[in-house]
Amino acid sequence: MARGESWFREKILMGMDGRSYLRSLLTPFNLLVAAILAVGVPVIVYRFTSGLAATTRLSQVQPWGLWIGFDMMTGIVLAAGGFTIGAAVHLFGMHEYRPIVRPAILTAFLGYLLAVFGLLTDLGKPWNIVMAIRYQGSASALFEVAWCVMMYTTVLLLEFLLPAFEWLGWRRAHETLMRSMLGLTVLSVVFSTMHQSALGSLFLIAPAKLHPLWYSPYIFIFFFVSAIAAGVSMLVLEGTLSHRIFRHRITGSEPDVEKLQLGLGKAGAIVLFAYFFLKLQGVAEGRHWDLLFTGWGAWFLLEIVGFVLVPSLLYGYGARHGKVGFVRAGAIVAVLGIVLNRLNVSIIAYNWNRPDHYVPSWMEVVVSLTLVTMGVAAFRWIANRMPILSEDARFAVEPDEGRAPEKDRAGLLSPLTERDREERTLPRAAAGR
Amino acid sequence: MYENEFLNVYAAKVVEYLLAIAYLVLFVGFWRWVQGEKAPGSTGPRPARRS
Repeated sequence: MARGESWFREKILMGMDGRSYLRSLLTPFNLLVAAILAVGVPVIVYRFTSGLAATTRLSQVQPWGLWIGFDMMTGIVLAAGGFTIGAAVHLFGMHEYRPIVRPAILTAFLGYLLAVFGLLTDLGKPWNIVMAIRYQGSASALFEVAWCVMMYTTVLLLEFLLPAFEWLGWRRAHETLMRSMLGLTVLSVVFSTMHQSALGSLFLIAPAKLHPLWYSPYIFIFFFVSAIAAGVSMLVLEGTLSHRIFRHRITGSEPDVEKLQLGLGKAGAIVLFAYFFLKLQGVAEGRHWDLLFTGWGAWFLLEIVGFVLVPSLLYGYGARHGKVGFVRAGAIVAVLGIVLNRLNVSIIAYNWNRPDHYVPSWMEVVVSLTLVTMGVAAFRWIANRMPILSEDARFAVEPDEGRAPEKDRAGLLSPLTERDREERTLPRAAAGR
Repeated sequence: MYENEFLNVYAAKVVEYLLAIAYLVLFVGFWRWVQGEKAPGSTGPRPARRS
């Protein structure tokens, strides 16, 4: 067998021949993905060939719809787990969380790619996106968002290349990248801090359009703090799902996911608690206490009590009593709350006083659903092939970054013995899709 | 006749300051609750008596 053919079979077809691989694709998940793509991809093509007017309910009054409110705003905030856990591990020395760094980075990378694709779909003239590079509109929040998203997506690509190089067996490139991980993490925190908050700053120019309960001069702070809460919550959710679905991909010692999630629960409780009071500060600053007794006020209270304070208490209770189920429930409610917040700010409470309020068309919903499906399918494809759930022991490096091996509580960075290396390289099960 | 701005709770940002102080006070208790810590004044388990 030719070398190229053997590589393709080993790396892409996961050791199967073509026929067996195609047969292995016939799963309920893949059929569902195929059905969604069969509808969604033609709709995306139709959008690019026929324009926004034919596919959306956007107008001059409501130029931002579901693709910005959901794909961009929500996609970006739910990808915040990457910089949150990267900073915790590489900057704050919480090395016990290292096993969940790679899934978080991959989720963030795919989330950003899809958000950028969603943005291109939303732009009337997508080819004009390069204008953000050509013209230096440094007084614009959108300019800052554009640059930070470009920069951070590049940083995420570099961080993702680490497992990709392990998969490809490119040792020298891997070593070079490993040496720059600390710098990349610093950059990821800087860019994320800037653009997560800048996404909120975009609404500072629309005080008359956004409902007063959601509009605040502090909105950029709300966006940043809620991004950290979303990042922590996504780490819990993603850890639960990926370690259940891709357990067969873990090599060597299995991390104590429940213990890590209890730790994340503490962080989630504290951040959401602070976020709840920050939102109250927004109401106090605008002197909008009276609006809380209206229909919009009830909707606002549902968001900040039901989807911020309640998950904070769920996280706190779970972390205090060691009940991981409460932490996971808190993560689900918190993620829903952040999604609701972004939709409220960009769609539901935006142009709230207009009689012809925007409602997305079915094609907008289909495109958003297609993008999410593509993200999930891409994660699954990559996690089934590359060392995402655990690191390839053949590429294990001696601990650097000025930390001593005995401080590595999880034992993941300790110098490996020959036996450790053998144990780690033995896959738990050969099966995979 | 103008209202004295010092006595206006909004102009003096009293509500915002009170909210911030309430948050800080509650945060101490919340932090201890999440961490499973006891308040500094509360006594721990009693030492065993000498037999």
